[in-house]
Amino acid sequence: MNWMGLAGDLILGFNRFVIVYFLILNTTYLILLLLSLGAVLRFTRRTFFSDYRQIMQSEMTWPISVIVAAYNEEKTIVETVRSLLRVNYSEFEIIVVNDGSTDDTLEVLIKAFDLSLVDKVYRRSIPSEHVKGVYESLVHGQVTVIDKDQGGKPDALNAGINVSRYPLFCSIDADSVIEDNALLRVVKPFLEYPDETVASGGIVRIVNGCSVRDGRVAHIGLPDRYLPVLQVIEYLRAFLSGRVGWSVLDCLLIISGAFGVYKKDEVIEIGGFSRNTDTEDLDLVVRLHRHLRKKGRKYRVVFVPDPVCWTEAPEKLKTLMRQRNRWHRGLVQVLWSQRGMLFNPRYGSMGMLAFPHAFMFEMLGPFLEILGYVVVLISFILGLLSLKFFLLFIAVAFLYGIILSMAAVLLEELSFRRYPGWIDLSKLVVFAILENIGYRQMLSLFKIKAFWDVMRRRRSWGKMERAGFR
Amino acid sequence: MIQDILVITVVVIGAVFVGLTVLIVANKAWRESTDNSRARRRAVIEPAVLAYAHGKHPSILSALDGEVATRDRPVLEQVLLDHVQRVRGVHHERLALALDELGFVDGYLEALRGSRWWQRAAAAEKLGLASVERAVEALTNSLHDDVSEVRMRAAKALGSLGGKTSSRQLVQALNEPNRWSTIRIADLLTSMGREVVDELVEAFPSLTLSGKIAALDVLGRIRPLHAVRWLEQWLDDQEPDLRARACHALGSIGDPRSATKLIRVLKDPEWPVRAMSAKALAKIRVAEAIPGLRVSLRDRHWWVRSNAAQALRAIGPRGLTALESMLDDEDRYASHQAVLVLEEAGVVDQQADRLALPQGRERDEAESFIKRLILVEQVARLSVLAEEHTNERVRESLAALLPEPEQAGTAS
Repeated sequence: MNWMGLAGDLILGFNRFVIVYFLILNTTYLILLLLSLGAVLRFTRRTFFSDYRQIMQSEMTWPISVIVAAYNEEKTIVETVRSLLRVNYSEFEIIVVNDGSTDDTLEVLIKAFDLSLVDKVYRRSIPSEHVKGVYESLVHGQVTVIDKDQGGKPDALNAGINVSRYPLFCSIDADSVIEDNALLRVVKPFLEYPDETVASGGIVRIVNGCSVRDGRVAHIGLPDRYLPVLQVIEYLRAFLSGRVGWSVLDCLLIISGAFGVYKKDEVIEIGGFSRNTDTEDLDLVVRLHRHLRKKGRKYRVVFVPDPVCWTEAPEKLKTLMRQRNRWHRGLVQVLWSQRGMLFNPRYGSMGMLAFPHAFMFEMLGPFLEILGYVVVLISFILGLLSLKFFLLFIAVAFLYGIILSMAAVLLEELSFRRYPGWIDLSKLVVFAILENIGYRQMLSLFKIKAFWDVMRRRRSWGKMERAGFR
Repeated sequence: MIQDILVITVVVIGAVFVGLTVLIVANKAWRESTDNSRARRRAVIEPAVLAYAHGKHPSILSALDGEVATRDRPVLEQVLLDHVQRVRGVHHERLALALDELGFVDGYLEALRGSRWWQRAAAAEKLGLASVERAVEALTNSLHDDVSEVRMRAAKALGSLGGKTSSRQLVQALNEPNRWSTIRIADLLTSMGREVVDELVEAFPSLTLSGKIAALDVLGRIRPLHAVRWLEQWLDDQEPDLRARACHALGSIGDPRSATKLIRVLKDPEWPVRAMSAKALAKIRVAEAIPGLRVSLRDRHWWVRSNAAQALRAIGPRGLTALESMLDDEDRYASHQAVLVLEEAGVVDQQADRLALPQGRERDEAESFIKRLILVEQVARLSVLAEEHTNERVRESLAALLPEPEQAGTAS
């Protein structure tokens, strides 16, 4: 037996498999992008007729509780609450949950909003860590602050849900700023389909490079540093072409924890946010899907592409690695814990489409991608692979990705145009290319490390270093 | 084989890449140049349109030197539409006439029959802005359009035209299941005022449940006193949502004569109805409601307790006395709710202030009140006052009374 020949065949076979895998993966993204293109164009036409001012002023609009979980957010929390106070909405309350911060988060809030301890009476629908005190603002009637023992973000959100008064609640990250009409826009699906909509989410954009004044994004610009700009492209691709597409297919797996609205009763019914995962947002949406599909309910989980939540992106590689490690750990945990949905026709498009995609491409994709690069490169160096094959691999792996990133930029240009200048546009185009060379591969390595951490049952939120708003 | 695939793949991907880049740049360049060009033309056209609106020219064409270039028509239309919705009276009429004279209205009527829904919706919207009376029939037909956005726009346009026909159509449009649309239609009906009350009452039986709920909300906002008796009958309806919205409407009208029936509804089997009844009584503020509201403070549902407590506060001193009497209630949730509202009403602070008084009946009463709060373990406000009160004697007294500076927040 010619062992060398067999090894060569195996390697070549694997290389072909990798190319086919890349083709399927990128074609899936292309289909999602095309679906998104249609949806976004339809959406922009419909938005023309929205009458937001009228809806905002109407007392018939559903009131909403905005819940902000805060852990060591002294740098940004006041600005975040100020931005929320300026939101255009008829009736809403803001509940900040101080989740055992070790810095001055509570103190800066007390000072900025003239908070006073009250004997709040509320219903404890979901278990949470001990609540040390509830504060209400003497100046801003809508502001409530819960001071509690540390239990993590999901626990903080659960405490916020318990104290909240209204039928809808919106979870917002403490380092985020939402645009004036964002709340109205994200609530719109609930008003359009009141019986069916259970959750909706808006787009998350990167605030680095923008200037924030009085809780508002006063000037929109791209960041100066490379890493956040690469994330701008990544977010555009993920939100505008990914989530919009999945939303069209009625199998949106995630509503970003940075900005999502949920029907409170439905969330309470499934026990609120889970503490057993590192990505409580993904976990909640998947459990909602599972619960509602089991019950045979007609329901909607929707992504709305124009309510904007501006959030701070990591500027340092280490912070980015920690963030992505947590995200991927969460993905693995959720997919594993809900594996019963995989290829299960009982869960419809979720079980037959979204879950298999998440398993094969999101969860296992990083392994195959990195392994593919390594094996193809080694094969080429060893002379097992022709230059043609090598170039074909490069074309499929890199250029296809570049096209998808460019298409996301085009989608942004055709629809929302948040970055108005020529310099910003040129930067986006250049970084759409660069994102696929090095950055994406680096993220795959982070994800492999995350998978390893899941195997070792390592869990930590990771410290997010914040520069604060400019 | 591989070589062919390679060549085709690279060529296709390369072409798409170049195409996308060109598209992005061309799209931006075209958009910016169009915007700039329109802005320049607008700067010329707008003063002429305004001069015409103020009667300085007999017709729009004469204001524009007798002709309108094809490329200027979109700009002119936009200028006319921008201003026609801002002005009233003769200026509005002149601008609407200009839209008609220039053939835009005919275009909208044509578009109303078009195949693309957004064009139909836009046409309906523009006909409404221009208040084109000859469009009533076409707009009425559009109320049966397949697309809800078009139906809503048509209803809104009819609303802006006013008159009985419009209000009738708008009332029927309340049946729209899309609440986003219903809110807008309800706002239009509300703005039409009392003239739509009879129409709403008459059409009520023919409305769907969501339409009826919206109609009750509209009545609550218009507040017609003469509809109170009619509204009261819905407090006994089989549908809980209708009972709740009827409570809300009666509360908004605020006629004390409806209090007796609302007090009865405090015992409704459905909690949203009980909660809404308590909320309505908070607006009517009659002392007869106090016994019923005290009972509601022990309701098993939080919202009912909360609304009942707020209603007692709204009634005034007698309501606050009732809340004080609930401090020792066996139902811990009722007493906690009472404490919270007494805090919000400033009663706890007032009682704390009285600790500064010399020994006597008044001070003893205040001390007794504070001890009752301590007994039910609701001391968050007292703890704050023990640290921050401006009077040292009060701080000392509170510190002596309080067992230890404890936390707040009661889960129920």
